[in-house]
Parts: sequence; structure tokens; C-alpha cells
Amino acid sequence: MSASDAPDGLEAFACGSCPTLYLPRPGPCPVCGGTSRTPRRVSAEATVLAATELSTPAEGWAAPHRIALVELMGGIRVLVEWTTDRRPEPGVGVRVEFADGRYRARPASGPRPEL
Amino acid sequence: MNCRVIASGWTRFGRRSEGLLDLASAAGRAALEGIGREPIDLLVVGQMLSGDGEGVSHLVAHLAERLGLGPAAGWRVDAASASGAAAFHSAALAVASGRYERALVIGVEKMTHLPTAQVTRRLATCLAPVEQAVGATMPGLAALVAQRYLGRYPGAEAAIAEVTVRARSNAARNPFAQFSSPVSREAVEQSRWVAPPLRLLHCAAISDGAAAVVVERGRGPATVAGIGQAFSPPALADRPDSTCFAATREAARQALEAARCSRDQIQVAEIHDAFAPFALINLEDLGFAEPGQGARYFAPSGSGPVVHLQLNPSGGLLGRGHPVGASGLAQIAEIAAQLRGDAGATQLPGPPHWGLAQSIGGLGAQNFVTILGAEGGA
Repeated sequence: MSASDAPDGLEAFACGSCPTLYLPRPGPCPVCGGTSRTPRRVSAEATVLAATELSTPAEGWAAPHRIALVELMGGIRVLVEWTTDRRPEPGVGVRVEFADGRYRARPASGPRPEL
Repeated sequence: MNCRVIASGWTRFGRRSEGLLDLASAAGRAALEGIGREPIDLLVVGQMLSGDGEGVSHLVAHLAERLGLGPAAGWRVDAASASGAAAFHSAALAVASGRYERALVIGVEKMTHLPTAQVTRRLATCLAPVEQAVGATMPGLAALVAQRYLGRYPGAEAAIAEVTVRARSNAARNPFAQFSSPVSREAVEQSRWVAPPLRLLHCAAISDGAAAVVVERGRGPATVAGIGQAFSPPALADRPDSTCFAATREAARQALEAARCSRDQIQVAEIHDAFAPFALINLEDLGFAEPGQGARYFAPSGSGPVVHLQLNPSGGLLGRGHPVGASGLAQIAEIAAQLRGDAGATQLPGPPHWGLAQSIGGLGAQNFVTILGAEGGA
């Protein structure tokens, strides 16, 4: 996957059969199953829908490990790794980045953390 | 369907010293004891985590040998944490088709021999790869579902704690349950955080164990009246509504339509309470409560929209334990035993005539509903 965390947004696709925007994925459109699609860039700004902190993460991850379900502009939802040391509250604005095969998020304002 | 459950068997759930094959064999033998010397011509095994952690693969062949079922046909079914239910459905369909006369179905899992972080990783392998990539786990995604649910329907926290209290109370009567002692609401609410808003006692424990049933052609007190199953996207982010499980709703619709019964007729249900908030969601998805009203069932007064329904007499996943490949079949085994009047210490008065089992595979990616009825069914 070659999506980038470039400042102008995230790589996404617009379904050719319905109005859905979705992030790169191996399968068809998650809503209608359509296989035709057009590349788009979408804003990396998002809002936290829910977030939690895992006290016992899976093997290979350090505790505490934080994940969040966020919604990008345009309604695309994505699960992200939360990269700062306090889990965000629902409704908080965040910025999503894609690197090393995974989506990560940090506060919309503030310093960029070491990833 | 032209088939019925004629025997149920279990091992005790919990931390067990026996291996995978020993547990599965013991549950199978317990079920076979209930049918005398009647021949078995089909063996179906449900298991989620492959046996490679124990150095055992091709489980069904090893079990056929141990149980003396050499002439039978057989296969193994995997539907994540609903593997036991999926195994039952495939066996029921095979028997009802007329191809087989009598099937032994076994659901089994061995988990406690592995460190918790390793079990957590292995369980998470059923999640969407894009969500595994950020370190998602079953409790982690369940916590996000619970947080979304509580955000939309505030005030359900006490009811969620009560789910565990009632589960443990019921489990205390079940000699096969992992937990034999009740817990208080305070104990639930003061247990350590696992993934907020979920605390330790909101989560089913890692467990070993096996369950088994015998399915036979014909009708009886535990006739397979209706079955249903449906998929949802494995990725939580791909679901338009993360406060419910659409796959349960569709599976329930299919099962009720096939059984030609109404929800009001269902007297007992075993639902998939791997995480306590799921009990509320499941009641709503199954249509026993309106969206956001599942908490009323667990109100201290006991008065709610589904007051006629006896829920998880076995203790459910929270109380009986959750060996993932066994749980879905243990639910069906319990409902069948209840309808046959053969449930021992957990037997409800009556006995009930209609019962339902609901099993969640993965984090709601493939859910199953099974309805058993006395002589009933379409």
C-alpha cells in the first residue's frame, strides 16, 4: 500500500457505483461492493468517535496501548493507533497519518510526535 | 428442520490440565453416554484457534479415532468465537438433508496454557488486517463499541455491571462453570480497567473446555426449529452503526422466520455476553428490546420489556467461561438440555418449550442464531 501522510491529506478512493469514499483496501467498496473506483485525496483532519487504552495489549505491543475510532471529513471511519500519552475524548479533533502500513493519529494541534 | 438434539455433554470450563484432544474427547463421550449404543455417522468439530499451539492439527481425525467413530464422515468448522454454533448448524443441515442419521458435534478450545498477551494476539487474528495493524484486540474493539453505545444511550453503566452479577449468580449453580462464586456490583465496578469503559469483570475469562451434542433426524423436545447466520464487515470502522451487531439482527430474522415462532414464545435464551455491554446490545439486536432499552432487562426491579425471558441460565460466557471454539455449542447444548428437562442444577421450571442461542463470531463479523422448540419447527 502506498498511501502517504503528505500534508495535503490521505489517499482514498471514490466508489464508481455509489457515493462512498473509502480508504485503500484489498476488497471492493464496503457499502455497495462495486469494484470500479477513482483515486482521491481526503483531508487528514478527523474527529474522535471513541477511544480506549489497552492495559493488556496483544503480544508485540507495549502497555498501555491506545487505539481510537475516528471519522475523517467525508464520513470515512478508520481505526487508528493513538500516539500521544493520554487517550483522547470523543469529539476531539485529530490528524491522521499513514506510515509503515498503519494509520496513526495525534492531536490536531500541537507538536508532531516521534513515530 | 427434521432434526433434534437428543443429548448434551460438557467438560468443566476453566483452567484445565488436560490437552485439547482430551477435553474434546471427554465432552464427546459425555454426550454419547446419553444415547446408548446408537451409531454415529457424522462428526463435526468447531474450534477457533488452530491446534498448532499444542502440536495438534487434523483434530477431527484424531477425535474420530479416540471416540471409535472410524466409519463416520467428519469435518472441522471455524467461525472464530462462533465456531461451536457454526459446527452445529453444519451438522444440523447435514442430518436434516437425509444424508446422515446421527451426528456428534463437539466444540473445543484450549487457551490457558498460553500467556495472556499471546492468547490476545491469537484471538485478534480474526480481526480485519487494517485494524490488527494498529494493535486492535477483542477487548479493545469491544470497549469502543461499549463507549459508542454508552454515548448514544447514557445511563446504562449500572445495568452493564448487573449483567456480570447475574451471570456469576447463575454460574454458581452450574457445576460445569468456570466461576462458582457470585460477585457484587461493587466488585464489578471496582475491578481493574482492561480497556475503558470495560473492567476485568465485564470481560469473559480466558478458558479451556469443550461441549458436545448429538443431533439426530426426527423431532422431539429439542427440535431444531430455525437457524440463521449473517456476516458483517470484519473491520469495525466499516460498519455504519457501531452500537449494534447487524449480523445478529439478520441471523435472528432468518431463524425466527424458519421457526415460525414469535419472540414472545421464546422462554429461555443463551446470548453471547463475552463483554457485559454486549448483553444489552444482543437483547436489542434479537428484538427482545428496542434499541437503547436493553438495560431495562437488568434493572434492579427486574421489570423490563423482556421480563418473560430467562437469560443465560448456564452463567453465560461471563460466568461459565469462554473457551472460544466451545462457547457457541455450549449455549445450544444448554438450551437443548433445558427443553429436554435434563439441565440438572440449572434446570428452569416448566421445562421451557422454546429456546434461543445467539453466538458472535469475531467482533460481530459472523453471527449465528439457533432456535430449538418442543416438537416444533417448520
